Amino acid sequence: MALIEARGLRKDFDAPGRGRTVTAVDGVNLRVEAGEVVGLVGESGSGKSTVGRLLLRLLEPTAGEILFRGQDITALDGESLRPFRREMQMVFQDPYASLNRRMRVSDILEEPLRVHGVPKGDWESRIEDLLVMVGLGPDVRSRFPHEFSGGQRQRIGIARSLAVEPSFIVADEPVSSLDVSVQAQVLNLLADLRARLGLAMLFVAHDLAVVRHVADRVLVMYLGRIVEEATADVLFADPVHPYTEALLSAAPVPVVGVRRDRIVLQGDIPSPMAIPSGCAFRTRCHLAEARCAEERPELEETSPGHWKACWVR
Amino acid sequence: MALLEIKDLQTWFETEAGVVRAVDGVSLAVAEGETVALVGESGSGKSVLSLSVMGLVPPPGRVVSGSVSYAGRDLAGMSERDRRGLRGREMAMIFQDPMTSLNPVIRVGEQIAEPLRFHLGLSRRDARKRAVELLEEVGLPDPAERAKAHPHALSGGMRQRVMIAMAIACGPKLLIADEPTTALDVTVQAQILDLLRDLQKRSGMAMLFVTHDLGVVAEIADRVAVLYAGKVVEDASAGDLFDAPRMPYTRGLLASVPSLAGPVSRLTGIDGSVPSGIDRPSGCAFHPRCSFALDLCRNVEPRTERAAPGHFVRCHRHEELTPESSEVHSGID
Repeated sequence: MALIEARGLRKDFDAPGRGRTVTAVDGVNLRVEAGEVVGLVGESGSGKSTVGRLLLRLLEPTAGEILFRGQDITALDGESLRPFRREMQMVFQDPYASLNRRMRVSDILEEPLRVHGVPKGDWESRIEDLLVMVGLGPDVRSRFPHEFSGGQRQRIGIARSLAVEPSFIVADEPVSSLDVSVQAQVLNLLADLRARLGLAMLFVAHDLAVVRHVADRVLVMYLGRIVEEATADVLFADPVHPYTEALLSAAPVPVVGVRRDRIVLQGDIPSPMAIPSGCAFRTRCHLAEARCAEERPELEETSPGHWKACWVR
Repeated sequence: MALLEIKDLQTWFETEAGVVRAVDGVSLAVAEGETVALVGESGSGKSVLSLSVMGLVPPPGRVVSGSVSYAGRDLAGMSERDRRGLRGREMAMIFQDPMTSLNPVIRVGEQIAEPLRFHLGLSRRDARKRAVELLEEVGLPDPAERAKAHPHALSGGMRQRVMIAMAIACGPKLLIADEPTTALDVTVQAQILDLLRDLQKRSGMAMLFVTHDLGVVAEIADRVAVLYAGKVVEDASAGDLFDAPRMPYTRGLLASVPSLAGPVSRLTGIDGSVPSGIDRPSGCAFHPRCSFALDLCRNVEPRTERAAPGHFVRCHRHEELTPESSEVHSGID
């Protein structure tokens, strides 16, 4: 049984103009096993952040269901959802925007403990443990967010998400606002925490090398749908979907003189307000055929554990 | 003679909290047709340096000392009028966010036509025609139609192309590009990098390319200057910098970047974070984060020394930290 599973997940948002909607997520299935790190990659507008928020029930899905340890939590709310909230936490991209600047570190970490009914007598030692665990040390507890660097603030954000000992974390671009030297520290911290706490994670990111570094399995999203899924080793060595291929070949690598045969896609990602018919990627795809405009390819398994949605490949 | 020559430039910001020495003694040259990447993390001073070259440092910042010369002419000694004549015509700049240089209420064709009329004295009609040609040159589909659009009607990638069209309108010899692809998705970034390379090949313009992304540097640069705490700490050809970095900071940066190729190993990273511009560490500003720091590094600021032909470094220990020294191998291969 998967730790968390989504089936047929769909999310429509109201768009400007009467009765118009935008489908941000369209029929996504995904599973994250206990202790597994699943990478969700895609460019802006792909719907990857929306998937993360749907899983945590921070957004209401338009259709589909979410199962946590096999139990359907799609319809739960209020008190009935609370025990699951404790199991599932989020780490945000911008550690500054997500920390209350008027609160001291100890207050920031106390809040989830209070909300989830951890006995008050345990708070002190729990906060101390958390600060040690994320590498800040207990001495910082009475400081305010502005007294920290970006990387340190992200450590506070991570400590907060770990306060109630979740088993699953959605990390939404957790290192993309950090300088590369600091990004490395935070990636190492996440790897350590995962090993130590057996955390499962959905790691949402646009940076493929970062995802390669942390994920066991990777899902590639384009305009609201999963177009390819495989283990990280397979996906990066042997991508099947032309979009995955193009993404990989577009990613700049810090090595001189290995300019690879690049597939440069034409144009930008279409607006989610005007998703192309058939395969949504066809308008930028160098392999597109007549069929791609007419019929939408569904995900199919090409080899065990490797899924793709493409008519041509 | 270099096209652009920066000598011992100091650009400071006098704030209530103290003096921020954003650019703290930078010397750098860009030859004709050359692409020099200026790499640094946030707070390194890279953007202020590029604004200093353009004469566009916002108050309370000001160039305190040093010089910037373009084709042998000292920019500081020039009247604002002469500088304006140079900006846009001889040297142009593009930014991370195109909306900072595009006027939201003017059609993009008009905006591109404006420098053509101002600098080259083209008639309104000729300038408009040329604007459409420029939009075509930067790969905008349907250029005649797009010229009539307002910036908000275009995607991020298209706006970046419009800004590039505006920058190259008068055929500048130097283009300063400040993180021009940072806000773009990788597939669009690849298009813009290809476009810049292509334009450069055709026009022979030089580029000062400011970025934090080492992958982008490897793709575009002939030479690289690494900036840390307002100073150039390493300056070498792109090949030497990536294959044989000398400065521990450069090595740390390279070892921080996760690889697409795998196998996945622990990233080395760099401890600590970039110091503020007000309280810079004594001696070598990098010493609190450097695992090779000695007392010398804590007390005495290193000078720029030549480590190899065309390879300059500010590090007391650069002679020991050769590419062969295994104990400092960065583990990026």
